Amino acid sequence: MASTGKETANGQSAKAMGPGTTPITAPSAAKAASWESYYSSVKNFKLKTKQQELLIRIAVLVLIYILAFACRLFSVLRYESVIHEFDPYFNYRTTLYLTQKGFYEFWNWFDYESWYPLGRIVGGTLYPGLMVTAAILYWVLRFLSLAVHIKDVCVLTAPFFASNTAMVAYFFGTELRDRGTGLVAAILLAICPGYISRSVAGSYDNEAVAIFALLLTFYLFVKAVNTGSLAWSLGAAFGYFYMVSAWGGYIFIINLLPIYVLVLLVTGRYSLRLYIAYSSVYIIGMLLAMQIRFVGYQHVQSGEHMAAMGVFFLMQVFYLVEYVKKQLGDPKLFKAFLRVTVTLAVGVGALALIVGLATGYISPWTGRFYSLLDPTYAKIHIPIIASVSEHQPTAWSSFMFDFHILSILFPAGLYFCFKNLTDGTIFIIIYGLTSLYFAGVMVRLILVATPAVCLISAIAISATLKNLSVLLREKAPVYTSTKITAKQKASAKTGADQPLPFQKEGAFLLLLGALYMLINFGFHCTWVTSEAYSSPSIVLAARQSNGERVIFDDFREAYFWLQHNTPPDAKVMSWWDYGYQITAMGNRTVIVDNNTWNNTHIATVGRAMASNEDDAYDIMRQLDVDYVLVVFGGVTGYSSDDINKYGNWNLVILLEPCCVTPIV
Amino acid sequence: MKLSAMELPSAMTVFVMVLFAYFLVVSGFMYDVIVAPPGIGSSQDPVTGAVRPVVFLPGRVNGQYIIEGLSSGFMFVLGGLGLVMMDLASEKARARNVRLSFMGAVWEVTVMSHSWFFLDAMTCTGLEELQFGVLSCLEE
Repeated sequence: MASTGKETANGQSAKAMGPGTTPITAPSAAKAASWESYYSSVKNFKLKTKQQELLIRIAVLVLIYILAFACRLFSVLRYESVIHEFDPYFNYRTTLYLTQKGFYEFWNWFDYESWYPLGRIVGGTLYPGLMVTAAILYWVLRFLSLAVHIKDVCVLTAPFFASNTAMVAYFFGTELRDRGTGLVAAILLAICPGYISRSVAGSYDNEAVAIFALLLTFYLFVKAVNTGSLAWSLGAAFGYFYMVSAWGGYIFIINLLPIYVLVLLVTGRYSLRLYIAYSSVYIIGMLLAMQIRFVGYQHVQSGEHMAAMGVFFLMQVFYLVEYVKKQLGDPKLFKAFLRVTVTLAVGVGALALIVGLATGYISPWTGRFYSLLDPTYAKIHIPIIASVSEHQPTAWSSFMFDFHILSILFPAGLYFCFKNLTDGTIFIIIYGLTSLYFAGVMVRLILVATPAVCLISAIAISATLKNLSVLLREKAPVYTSTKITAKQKASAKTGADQPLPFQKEGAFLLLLGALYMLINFGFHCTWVTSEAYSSPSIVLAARQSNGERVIFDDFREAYFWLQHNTPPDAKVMSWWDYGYQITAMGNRTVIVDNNTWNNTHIATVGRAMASNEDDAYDIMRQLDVDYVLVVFGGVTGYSSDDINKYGNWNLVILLEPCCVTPIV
Repeated sequence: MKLSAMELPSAMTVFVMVLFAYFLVVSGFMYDVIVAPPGIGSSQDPVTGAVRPVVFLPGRVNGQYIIEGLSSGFMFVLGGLGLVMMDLASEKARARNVRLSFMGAVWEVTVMSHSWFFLDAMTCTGLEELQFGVLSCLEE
């Protein structure tokens, strides 16, 4: 395009030199001519509209990428590059082990330093996706001679993947509607507090990469359903494998896809593309998922995965019926065949399910996920699940806090999706509704709903802005022909073609209103990120009465005291909240930690903590404990210390009838 | 290929049902069922002894009264409906007076939902804990 500019410039300057003037062959004149042509080519440098659009789009995406990374760095700038919370410390410890000892040692690791004296089979009880991802990033950076510490790689993994998720949201939005929607979806997802809460720098937890894998899988699957291509289906299967390796929330994918397929079948949208996409993704995804030891054979044995299998067989039945319909010419014969096939399929399926459940081969839904369907279940039966504060049901203020204007834009976006239903919009509707229901049951799951809410809100914003700008740009209809046609007469009567009063001004004002709302949203997101979601939890900050800021680093000081002042084989007993941190930073053996896989062990520790000193001493001797770590917040007013916890949950966990072991 | 003779509802009917479900979820219906807070709070004036209703639950981030939740959910849905009406008003095919009434509804709804946003500050009243830097309610 620069060349065309130059050409015209040259052509113009050549014309200007024209027949009238005599060509001067002196080199200075030639130089002047070339400068002039260069100058006029730069002045006439004008991109074609398509290229302008591309440049703007790429510039916006680059800015979104940088913004998504940068707005998650508050705690790194305020405190230091430190791992937050509790669970990330275990992930950091395992990643450290992986980079030091290699993959095979990591995969077969038996950890004798936690859950003393039981130990823990780490290789078989974790989701390796996060650790392997961070280790690969670390090895790549080291290969490029950038000497980074693994801790910094772990801290910054989450913002890096948040930026990538925003890019996937762009492609997903483009797939659903158009490029404008994609751009809006990307920026919404980049700053939405619901996602920032679990992907801030230092939050080195499974969700950091899992949301990226989730959105990627969904995007690739929708692409596969829209195109019917085997390549996209393979991509979706590998995306699903990444999700299974990263987080236990893959159950959501393996149940959402069958629901989506069922809805498409019921609304009469069965097509060969859907058949190819779902069958490939299910089979290959299932085979890949079995490579993760923690998941194992659950895809064929667990009740939570049976919906996907049932829908898979249903799809085969549909394909068979379609095939037979094409071969048979006779509609009556086909109806009979259909009736036989349907009854046979339903009968065989029900029989297989009953036999599987009765023999115990298919295990029922585990408590963790059953409490999502029946929210009152956990409170009565599994108090340790109900005690976690992020498992509480959601009040409206949490929706407002995490979504702000998106909660208003969501129903409007649903309307636009329902207005022109395609396979893609049906998917996003189902994803949005199911994830919002689960977000209503458990605060923590607002994270899973965030991509859907952002995408649907992006559809609303994009469609509304388009409508408003059409209203703004509408020109008054000009009657050019002398013969007024009947249609124009009729429309002139009803006045349908005439613009509304103050149309331009009204549309302009509404556009300004939309701008104001979006700016407000940006400010809200930044405020929420800065105040609410950037606390490292291991370092506490408080404001004194004179306004001065005080930093409490008590946790880390205590753990390093343990590391320096106790013998290396000392066993430390504490409440399970602090287990991961003690093993990671204090490097000592603990009795119970955050994995909470053995409720009896935890109840024993709780009993020791809640009894009087003589009984407690006996229990501790039995557990071979050397040190006890207790968190007390009385002086500073720290409200979630052990005393406060013992007021509520620990005794309930302790008094579960199945879990109290009599200490002889 | 249809297996049954049942008529499927139209897309807009499903949309209305979905909207109602959204209203229930976003007004904290699950929270109301499980935690069962009172319908509306009350505080007593220390001097006169008169009992005053309290609409917004103070002091916690993830908590609500029932009426507070339902009215907030209603406002969210109203704002969404305003945007829907704006789309309906911008269709050229409708009669002019219908379009005018749609635009009027848009303005009314915009003003109402924006005024609710200034109550955003209300949800932030109980955030002394944020200043302490410990959000025991939000995170674990």
